[in-house]
Order: sequence, then structure tokens, then C-alpha cells
Amino acid sequence: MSPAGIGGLVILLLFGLFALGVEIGFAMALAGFVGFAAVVNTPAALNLLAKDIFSVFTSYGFTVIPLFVLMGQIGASGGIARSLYDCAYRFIGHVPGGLAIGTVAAATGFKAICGSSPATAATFATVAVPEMDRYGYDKRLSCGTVATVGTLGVLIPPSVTLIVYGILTETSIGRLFLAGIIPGLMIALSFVLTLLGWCRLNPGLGPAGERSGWGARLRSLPPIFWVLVVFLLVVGGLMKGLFTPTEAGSVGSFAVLLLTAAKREMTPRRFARSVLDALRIACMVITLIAGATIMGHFFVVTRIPSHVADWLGGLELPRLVVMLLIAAVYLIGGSFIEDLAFLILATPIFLPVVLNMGYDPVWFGVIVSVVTMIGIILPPVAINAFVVAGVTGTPVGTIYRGIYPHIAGMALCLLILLLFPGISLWLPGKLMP
Amino acid sequence: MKALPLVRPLARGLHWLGGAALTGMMLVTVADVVLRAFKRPIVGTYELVGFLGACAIGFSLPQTSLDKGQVLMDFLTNRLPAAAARACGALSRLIGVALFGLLAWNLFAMGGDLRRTGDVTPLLHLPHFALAWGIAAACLVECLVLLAAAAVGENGAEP
Repeated sequence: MSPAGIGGLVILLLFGLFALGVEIGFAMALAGFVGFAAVVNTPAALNLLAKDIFSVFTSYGFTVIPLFVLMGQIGASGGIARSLYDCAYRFIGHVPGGLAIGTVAAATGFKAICGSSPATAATFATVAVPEMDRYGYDKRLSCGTVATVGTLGVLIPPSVTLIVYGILTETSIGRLFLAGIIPGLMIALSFVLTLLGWCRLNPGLGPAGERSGWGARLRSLPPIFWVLVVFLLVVGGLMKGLFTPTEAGSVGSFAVLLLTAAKREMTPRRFARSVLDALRIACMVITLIAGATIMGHFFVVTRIPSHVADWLGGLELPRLVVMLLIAAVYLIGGSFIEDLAFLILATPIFLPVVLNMGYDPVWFGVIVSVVTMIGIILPPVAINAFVVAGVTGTPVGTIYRGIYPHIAGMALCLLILLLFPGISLWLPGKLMP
Repeated sequence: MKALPLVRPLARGLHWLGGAALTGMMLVTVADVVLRAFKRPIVGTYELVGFLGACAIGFSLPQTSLDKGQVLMDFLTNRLPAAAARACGALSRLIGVALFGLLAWNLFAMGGDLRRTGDVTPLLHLPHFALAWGIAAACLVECLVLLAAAAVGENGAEP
């Protein structure tokens, strides 16, 4: 049988293992190992298995992942989200839907230090939903918004998704971070416009809260300043070449630790919990990468990525249509498998196609991230909806009904970003030419 | 589950070791960045951080599985009758045991080769074989965690 034929069978085996409930990282490692043994030989495959796991685990490049996750976990357990929400609430809590809009604003600020999507959804489900309940907000609006805003961290730096994409594709993480800023803010604006429109159509969904005085508003501002300082330190240091990504993650984590300790929000117990939680998340991500590395080496010997590139090139479709097809594959794949896992699995296959069409890998990173954002809240595997359902005790169906209007806005943003790559590439072009 | 009282503290102990490694990575890197500003960087930071990173992630594998922290696709098996779902859960975990058994075996062998050839990091002379054996040992604990889960047919690992 030809290597490509074996490749097809191994992909079937992979999806069989997924369907059986094998952990996705483990399934990729095992399927890659079996395929490599079939195409090359068993001793080489055994060697590959140990070497790939060892090299991924010991790689300096991957140490960036636990450190940026740690930064977010310290921020999440150190009360920063609550301070940001408090500030946003003081400024816009009094307009209809204002508490939900405040959640978007606070989450956008919080994403500047926390790259984990479910962690943000869980944090704001704890902080913002009880407040919205107090003012009689409809659960669709409150829980749907909280689940949706968690996705902003996929695009707004320091995003774990962009870091993983950068490592996989050997693209500059600094450029990717810069490229994510404008599209991230654009999508945050789409959430605000969706909420304003929705509350105007049905004012009962989000009644107005209390109006705060200017004194209270000004007193709530300092946390924003400190978050901005940490953000500028991390992204600025990366951009200026002062730090490697790992150093930026370390400095950012340490700065957030000092910030939360100074506010007396951080205790040794909370810090230990943040470290252990960060490790659990990082271990999951790096296991996925290790599995995908083994699978990737198998793909190389079968030449599947170049076959896919040749096939798509042979269709002679306009490149925008090809990009829409690729986005659809990510969306469908990410809806059934976990989105980051699918990104790790599919990117090495599709990247050559995208580069062949003359697109910038930084722009493709942004597109893939926006698709991942939609995938995170698209049923049936909508992890943020599950997290918010778990924290608030709201039925998942209710949360989905609150998510759909936001998905429409995100889809529109995706189309705009596909049509105008300059929106993503302008900032890295200006600051990191 | 008779195996769990043994497995749980092992996994937890390794996880805390991993936590210490992650904290160490952060502190060493920050110290290096600060001292670099005074033209006194810490020699070998790059090697040490890579080494600690491997400990942090490798040692966290068993606890991550114990806490069901690995991602998997369970919406299909959740729709099966209870007995069939348990059978799928047990089979999935046993597949994991096979994978980590193979990995542990090969990492021990690889560590032996690295020890014979005297493979160390260039500046700090940290022995690579110790890292390979450490990760192999964590893989063995992961096998025990997955075996304990397979015995009750759980999806994820917490029996």
C-alpha cells in the first residue's frame, strides 16, 4: 500500500480513537506511532516516540506556554478581574445592557494578562453573573455574554493559541501578538454593538443599573493603569527584542504576582493553587503538541500535506474560496474535537496551502484564531458554555441562546478580516517591520 | 480501588515537584533578566529553564489525568448505555496504558544510551539521562493512574 493510502487509514484510526474517548493528545501520538511503524519500521517508530516526547518536553521554546498560563492564573485568582469589572460597571452600568457591556470591557482588559479562554469565562461567571442577576438581567444575555467574552483571549495577546500557532509554524510570536490586537478589539466592539442592538430590541433583557458618581468612577481607575503597565511590559519587551517569549512570560507572571500581592489579594495558598492549575492546563496543551509532533512526523513521511496542497491548488478556485473552505474545516473539526487540539492537528496540513497562495502566515494565525474563537462557543463542543453552566447552574441550552447573536457578529468580523488582511497586518508592519 | 491510595499521593507529589520547577523557572528567568541589565546574566539560564520546564510538564502528567485535565471527545460515548460507555472508558484508558508503557520503556532505554555517552548540557553539565529517566518514571505513574481508571471504566481518569 502507498504511504498516502496508509495515511488515509491512520486518519481513520485517529478518528476511531477520538470517538472511543481516548485522550486527544494520546490518540495523535499512538496513531502517529502506528502509521510511522507501517510506513518505515517498528524500531524507528519506537525511537521516534521517545525522541519526540523528550524533545518537546525539554524544549526551551515550549517553556513559554506554562509561564503565560501561569500569568493568567495568578491574575484570575488575584482579584484583577473583579477590579476591572468594578471599574467598567461604574462607567457604564447605568445604561440598558450596561452590565453586560461592562463585562465585555472588563474581559477585554483582563485578556491583556490572561490568555486562557475557559479561565476567563469561569472568572467572569463568578464575578459578573451574580451582579447581573441582582439587576434582573435575562440569563440568556448574562451567561451568553460571559461565555462569549472568554473567547477574546484567543486573539488579544498574550494568547496561548497564538503562542502555540507561532511555535508550530515558526512565526514570530511578537508579530502574532501585535497582529491580534486590532482584530481582537474589533470583535470586542462587535460584542458591544450586539448587546446594544439586542437590548434596544428587547429592553427587558438588560435593565439599567445604578449610576455611579465621578468620584467612585475615578477611584476605580488604578487597576486599569497597572494592567496596562504589565501589558506594555510584556508585549513591548517582546516587540523591542528585550525579552524572549519565555522571558516575557516570566516577567509578566512575576509582575502580576507583585501586583496582586501589593493589593493583598495573593496568599501563598492562592499562589500554589495558581501554579498547580497552570501546570494542569500547560500539561494538557503540551501533551497535545507532543502528540501532534509525532503525528506530524508521520505526515511528513506520507507527504500528506503536500498532497493536500496540490489537490487544493489543482481545483483552481479563487483563493478566497479556498480560505473559506479551510476556515469551514477548522470550524467543523473544532466543533467536534477540542478547538486548540484541532488547530494543532490541522495547521501543519493547511499551512503549506496558505503559503502557496501567497498569504502571510501571521494573517493566517489571526484567521485561525478567530475561527477558534467561534469554535469555542459553537455546539456541540462549546467548552466555555459548559464552564459557565457549571459555575452558574444555568442550563447549557439557555447559554447557547445567548451565544448565537454574538456568533453572528464574530462571523461578520471573520469575513472582514478575510477580505482585508491589512487590518491584521498593519500593526506588526508598523512596529516590527 | 486498591491502587488509588498508592497512586494518588505519587501523582500529587510529582505535581508539587512540577510546581516547584515552574516557580523556579519564573524566578531564575526574572533574576537573569534583571541581572542582565547590570551586565551580570546568570550563566546557563537557557539550559536550566529547559530542564526545569521538562520536569514541570513531565511530572504533571499523572495529576492532569487524575483530574481529567486531558481533553477528549466524550459526547459520543456519553450517549451509549452505561455498560457500553464503561467498556469504552476502560478500553480507552488501557490504550493509554499501552502508550505510556511503551514510552516509559523507550525513555528508560534512551536514558541508558544518554548515560553511556555522557550526554550533558554544555554550560551547566546537567545530565540528560536523569531527565529521560525522570520523565519515564512519571510515565509509569501515569500508567498506574490510567490502570486505576480503566478498572472502573471511567472517561477521564478519576475513578
